[in-house]
Amino acid sequence: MATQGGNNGLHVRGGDNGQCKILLGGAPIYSPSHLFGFFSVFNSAHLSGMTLYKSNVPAIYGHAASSVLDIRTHTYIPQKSRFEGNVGIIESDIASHIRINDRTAIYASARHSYASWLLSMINNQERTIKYEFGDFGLGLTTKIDKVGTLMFNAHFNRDITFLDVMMYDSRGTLNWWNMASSLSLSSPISQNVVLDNTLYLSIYDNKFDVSLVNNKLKIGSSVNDFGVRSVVSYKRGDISVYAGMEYNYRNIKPQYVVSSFSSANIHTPFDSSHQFDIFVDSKWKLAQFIHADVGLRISTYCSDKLWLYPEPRIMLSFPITANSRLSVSYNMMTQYIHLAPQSNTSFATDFYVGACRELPPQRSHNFNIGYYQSVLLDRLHWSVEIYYRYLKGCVESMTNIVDMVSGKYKCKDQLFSGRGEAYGIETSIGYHDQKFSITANYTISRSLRQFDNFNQGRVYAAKSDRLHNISLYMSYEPSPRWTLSTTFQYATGAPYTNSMSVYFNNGSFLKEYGPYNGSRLPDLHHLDISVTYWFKSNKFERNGINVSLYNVYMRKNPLLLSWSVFKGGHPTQLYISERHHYLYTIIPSISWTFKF
Amino acid sequence: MNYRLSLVLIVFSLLFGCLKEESYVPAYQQKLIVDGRIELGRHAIVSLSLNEKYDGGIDSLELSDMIVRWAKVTVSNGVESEILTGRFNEDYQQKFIYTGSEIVGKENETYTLNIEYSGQSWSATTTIPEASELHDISVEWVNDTLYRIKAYLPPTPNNVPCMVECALNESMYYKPALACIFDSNVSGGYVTINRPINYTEIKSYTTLFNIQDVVRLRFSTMPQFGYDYWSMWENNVINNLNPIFPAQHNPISNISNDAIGAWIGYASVYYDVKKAEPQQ
Repeated sequence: MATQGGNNGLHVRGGDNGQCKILLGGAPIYSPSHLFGFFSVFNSAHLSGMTLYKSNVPAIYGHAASSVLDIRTHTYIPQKSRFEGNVGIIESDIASHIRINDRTAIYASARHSYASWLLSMINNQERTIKYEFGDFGLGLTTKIDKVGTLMFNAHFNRDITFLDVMMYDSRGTLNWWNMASSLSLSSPISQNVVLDNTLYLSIYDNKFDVSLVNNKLKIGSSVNDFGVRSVVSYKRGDISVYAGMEYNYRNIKPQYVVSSFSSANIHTPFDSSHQFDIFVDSKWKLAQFIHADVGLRISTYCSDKLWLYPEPRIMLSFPITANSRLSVSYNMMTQYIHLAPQSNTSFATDFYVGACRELPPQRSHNFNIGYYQSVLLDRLHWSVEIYYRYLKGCVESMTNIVDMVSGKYKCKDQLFSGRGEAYGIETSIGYHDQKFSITANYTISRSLRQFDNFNQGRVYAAKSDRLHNISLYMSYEPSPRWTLSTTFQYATGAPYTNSMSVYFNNGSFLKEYGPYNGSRLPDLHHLDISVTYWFKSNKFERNGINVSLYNVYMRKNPLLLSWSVFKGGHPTQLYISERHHYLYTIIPSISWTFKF
Repeated sequence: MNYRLSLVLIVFSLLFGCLKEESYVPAYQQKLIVDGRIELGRHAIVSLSLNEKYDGGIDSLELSDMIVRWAKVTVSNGVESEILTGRFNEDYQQKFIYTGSEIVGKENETYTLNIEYSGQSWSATTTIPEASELHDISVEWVNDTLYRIKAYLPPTPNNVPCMVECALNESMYYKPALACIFDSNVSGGYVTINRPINYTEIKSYTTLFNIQDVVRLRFSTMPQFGYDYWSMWENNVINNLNPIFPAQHNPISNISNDAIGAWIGYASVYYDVKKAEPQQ
């Protein structure tokens, strides 16, 4: 079995899915996408912006080995209430910014899908898949005299998948949900000093109920995160300093198995941990030609062992001209939570496990050199970045579902700790004016892993390894009524574990697997186009119909490969046929977009 | 273009890369596949075959071409040894097995298997555990034509693992019943015995038995290696199409010299399943 796509998380610069920390209003998000990565769980109208820290991660951010995606929600008080949304054939969403008074506003958003019809295109006699997802957001901002600004954010997203496979009488449901909430108070202490306090609570839960043969199996895991963060910031001229602390209590149920087959269900004990970090980060102009961003985070973590790691972060930026600069950075980062992969896809059956004696924290050393330039009054910009990352404490798993059924499975016995590295060159060029916009990105990179228990300790390609990665985005507005856009993506095929040979043993054909991740799926590429017509309307600020086609030339990007043995023409003759399974070819979509 | 980019990456990796990915392209190697057993009170039975190169599909595969017929197979109990005789046997899907006629399996005795073929040699050892018995074997009709088999699994001596295999109708070849490989922790309860998988009928597979089926059971205790081997074997058989929990690792083997398969000592008890007609 080999898989490609179907990715629920983010892989940044060769990092694993769980190594990118995603924050929404300061609260961690553990499940950032719907429908195997096809949709984000965030409603863009509910957000004010986001920043992906991949080259230099300021010291106020921790808990990540590769990168941080900080997503911000609205905090302004709108002049009048407004609503915007989409009504489409795959999903519909709505977001509102409601002005209560000149000090208070509420932001609410909701989305619901009806994606089952999309998946019905791949349903057949052998399998039936049904899928639903939804997400909800709620925010409140209120300004309090002499205290500051109080902000509340809550987010909930869930996915439900139903699978019925005509093989071994198996059927199952896979459900996962994520709730994240935060309460923040931003208090100005003086003209230059602000104190930000944030309290957050995040819960992630997944459950896989499967009926296999006569046995019912329930496999699940959960993460409960509670934390408090205090940051004092000082800004004056070119100098800014951030200092603070973060405490986090995390309670993880790594993976439990309830089997109707076994009298001994597997109740993996909770991983409870306390993490306390202090940090300071400062940005200032060292000289006319050097800007510095220097920080230090000291993280302490206590579970079955106490760890303490300093995490220095430094970035030096050298302005060469008014429109160009060269920057050099080094970041050391530590992560005390692991995401244990169950397969080469990132299905929601992957589970989290806390750092412990057997699985020490993940640590990374990150180096980056970048050159950035913009010309033509900032309309044309380009950049080149070279990065290198060394990782310790990466996690791989070796799951045997038969052991789960029989009650013999111990999840931590199936997890292994190893090391890795990722390096590459990222290039980007873009041109933007009022009517036309184009961005082209190309990355050449490698991401490698080394585990004693895999491939006899040999180095192999990580599942995020893509030698070539190209993305192209263009949009054009020939008139105020029309918006045309297109996207093209190409990536080298994902690594997978291929069969080297087949053999007959005890009445069945079996595969002899080759090296772990030793082969490649076919390259992945697709072209998408979108056309929007904007109606003239006095009632609506925006009112248009969007028609889009995903994967225009119907590329069959294989999600996975499989093979079966069939009877041949002669009674003793057999043949083995390989099948490429893909999730979709072309996906048409039409939606009504409005804003008032 | 590709050449230049690759050159840039190679230079870059020489400068920065610490881990060097070894040139480790999956290479087919012909391997010996061993399916060997010695039972309490019975002679050894061994079948040998070779693997077939797989490269995105196989147009024509003759099972008979994979069978090894000219090996020298020896079994010893530490005191005496015997060379097994190769012979055709229609009960086995491979149609060719090596059987003994002198050494009989005894409880808690260790047996060594030696194989010589094509200038190479392989060996393995195993021990036969104490026997146990299934209790209360019963038939439960699901409808007029289909039934399931249930049995009580008592705790095994020394909590050794056990398994149930089925032979259907005229065939005397026992195949593992699906999900019927038990570790010690499931002993002391009722279990359902599922129909074995036929590799060419996976899509029409049902766990139930048909009214026409005549079912014989073989219940065996085995060493811990037997459980480890059979659980990985079954995981590979049923999860090679599973995208969520895929099988990606080969079953362990106790045969030396990189052969695939197992040589296992069993204490087996045989049963004929008697079924009454379904009640109308």
